[in-house]
Amino acid sequence: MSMDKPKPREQFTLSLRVRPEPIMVRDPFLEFLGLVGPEEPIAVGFEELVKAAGHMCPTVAGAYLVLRHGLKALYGDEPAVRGNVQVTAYGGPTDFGYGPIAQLVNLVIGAASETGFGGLGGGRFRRRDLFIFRSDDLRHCEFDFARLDTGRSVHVSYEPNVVPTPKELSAAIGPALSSGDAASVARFRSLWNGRVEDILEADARVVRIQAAE
Amino acid sequence: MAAHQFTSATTVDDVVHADPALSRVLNAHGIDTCCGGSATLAEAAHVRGIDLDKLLAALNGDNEPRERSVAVATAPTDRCAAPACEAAAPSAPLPRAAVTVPAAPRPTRYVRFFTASLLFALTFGSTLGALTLATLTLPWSFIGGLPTDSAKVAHGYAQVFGFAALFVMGVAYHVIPRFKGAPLAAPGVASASFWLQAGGVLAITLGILAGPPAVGPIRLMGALALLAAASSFGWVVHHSLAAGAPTPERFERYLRTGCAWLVIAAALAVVTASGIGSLQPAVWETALWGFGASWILGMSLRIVPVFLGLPPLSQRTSSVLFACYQLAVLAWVSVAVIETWALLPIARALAGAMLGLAVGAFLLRLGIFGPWENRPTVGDRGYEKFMVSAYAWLLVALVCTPAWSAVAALAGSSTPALVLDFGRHAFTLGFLTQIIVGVAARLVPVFVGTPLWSTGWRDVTFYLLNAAVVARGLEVLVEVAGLSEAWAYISISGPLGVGAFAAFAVNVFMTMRVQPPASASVPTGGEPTADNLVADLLTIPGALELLVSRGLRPLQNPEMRKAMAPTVTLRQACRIHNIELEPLLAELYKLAAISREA
Repeated sequence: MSMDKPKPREQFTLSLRVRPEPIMVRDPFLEFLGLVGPEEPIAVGFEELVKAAGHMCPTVAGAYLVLRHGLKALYGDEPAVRGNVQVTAYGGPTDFGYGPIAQLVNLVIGAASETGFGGLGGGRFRRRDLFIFRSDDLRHCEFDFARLDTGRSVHVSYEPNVVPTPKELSAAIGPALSSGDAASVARFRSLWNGRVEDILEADARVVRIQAAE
Repeated sequence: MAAHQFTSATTVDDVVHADPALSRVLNAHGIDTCCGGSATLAEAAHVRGIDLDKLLAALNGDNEPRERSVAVATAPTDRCAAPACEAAAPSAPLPRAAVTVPAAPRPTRYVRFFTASLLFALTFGSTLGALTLATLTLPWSFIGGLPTDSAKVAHGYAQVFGFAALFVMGVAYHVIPRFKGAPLAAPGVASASFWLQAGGVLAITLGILAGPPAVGPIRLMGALALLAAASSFGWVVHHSLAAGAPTPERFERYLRTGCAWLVIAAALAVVTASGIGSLQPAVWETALWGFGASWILGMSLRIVPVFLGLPPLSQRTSSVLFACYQLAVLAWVSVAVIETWALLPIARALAGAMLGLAVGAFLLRLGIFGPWENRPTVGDRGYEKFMVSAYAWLLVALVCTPAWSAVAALAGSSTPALVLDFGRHAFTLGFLTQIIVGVAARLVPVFVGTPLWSTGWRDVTFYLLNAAVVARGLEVLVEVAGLSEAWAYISISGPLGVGAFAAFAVNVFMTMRVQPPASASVPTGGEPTADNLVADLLTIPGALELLVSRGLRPLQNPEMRKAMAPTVTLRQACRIHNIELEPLLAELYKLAAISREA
């Protein structure tokens, strides 16, 4: 029996009980290339982060919330500007979820480590070295966000455990991964995705913004 | 002293919140501090196969004052026993020098079971059976003064309680802890069950060969030993299964019920040895349809969909089939016992029809004869033919035993003895033995951690075994078609069967005697190769997750990881699990490169 190939998903939309609002940014390089209009904002939705990360988890939710609230603290209601924000993570690339978070930060605000875009000409539109890993000062999910144009910076920490974790979640992982039967996977999915939704629902409660030291 | 005192109930999240620097200690033990943070330290240690006490000692900073941050990150941590924990120092480059793989005890409990099983098959089992068959069908005696009836009984005990039961026990004691991710309950009792089973079979067969007056007491002692062995086997299986979480396939109930049937069969053997010799057929019915078939159908639920890429049965269907099958066996055995004293033709007809329908429905739902989907195209799949052929012979056995018996009972006649004999051998030789051989060809390499010694000998076993059953099928022609000139040719079945057992035994022994290297070099220069031991490759950060995601799922189980990883190379693991080697190697190479650069 032949089966139709699944159609590509043009609009990646998640079915969540909360609807995270998109993060608004501007991208001067896109504007320079004429791919978007002058000062035309771009909306980066939570779905795009999930799509880029290839999964949804408390860390992906954390990246989203840290970015949204950190950028809001720097820019208020204005769109944040790509290439104009330096992000410092307190830990190395393999500590906690800093590695995956760095990729999502790059997606939203352009900041990247030494692998980032080097810029044109004299380094215009440069995104390289705008994400810094402080391997020498390890803290738990803490970041600095700094605006390069004004020098303003904030310290952002992410604390998902403000929202209680279902006790069953840890025990559900093993059966879902080992046996892979439909019931175990469904149970795991429900608990796992529910945990992420709980965090998204808690929103600003899991993120703490302070003035940078 | 550490600022915090962590216990087994502390969660990973709590640890990193108390001191983020400890995340590197956790990482060094392979414990995920990101998505897996909700687990307790006990759970995380269990999943990773880590010594919890050592982990707690490392976290609590026993023996040395702990400093924050980088000091902890660079401090050496205790090595744990699991190969995966060799992923110590995640941000450090791969060790370049040769390392000794942690000494993991080689799981060899099954070896004595397999060895005794095959010795019984090659002596009192298939060989004595072949000589008895030749004596019955040719004009010469090959068993001296031993009555053929006694020889048949000795042959039956050696094959059913010696070969089949010991093999099943060996497999069970090895795989159940791996299926359940929990250690075997009471290894001492498991060991005792071996000596009781082997001793019991030996006593019965030697007693029968010795003849009167010794046979009575010796056979009774042997039967009592079998009863004790079956009880202890059942006890260990029950508690080992109970140690882990219930599995969705529900194969466990087949195993538990199979153990119960073995106890009943052994109890009937005791009664038979006590003087009621007419109960002997009931012993065979119980042991074959109760114990043997329950175990094989149960294990089929667990492994056939995996081995052949078939969809698993739904739980509801599985429950209905299980209930129908066990009721049918109960009726079949009960009628066999009662008919020792009084004939029950209607009951026998009903029981036979129920048994045939229940097993037929099981096979239909299992889909063993249907189109297989998701068939991997890589690797040696030589065990498939054993499985398909075995289930085909099971259908033949169903026709020749319960179905024919049911029809004969309704017609008011007795079932032809030769047809029953063929049906029993279609079951024992065609189904039971063939499944054992096929599964062994698939599992023994996994147990030992090397490829099968010879796929050629495996295939020779297959052809000899099936030829033996076909030759035995001449009995039906003699009985039904009156083809009396075929009578002498039935004896060919014997040597063919012995040849099959011999080829199988050689293959198993040669595979088991391979000694995997106890130590090996980690990838020098950081380049993993196909001939690296899996344990060495697991020293690459992220390799465990990669290998599991690509199909080496047994590595997820700490018990399996301890047993397998130090004994099998990547090339062998890929062959065993039908995984394409080159793409996986390329991914490992990338991981190693990333690790070096970190």
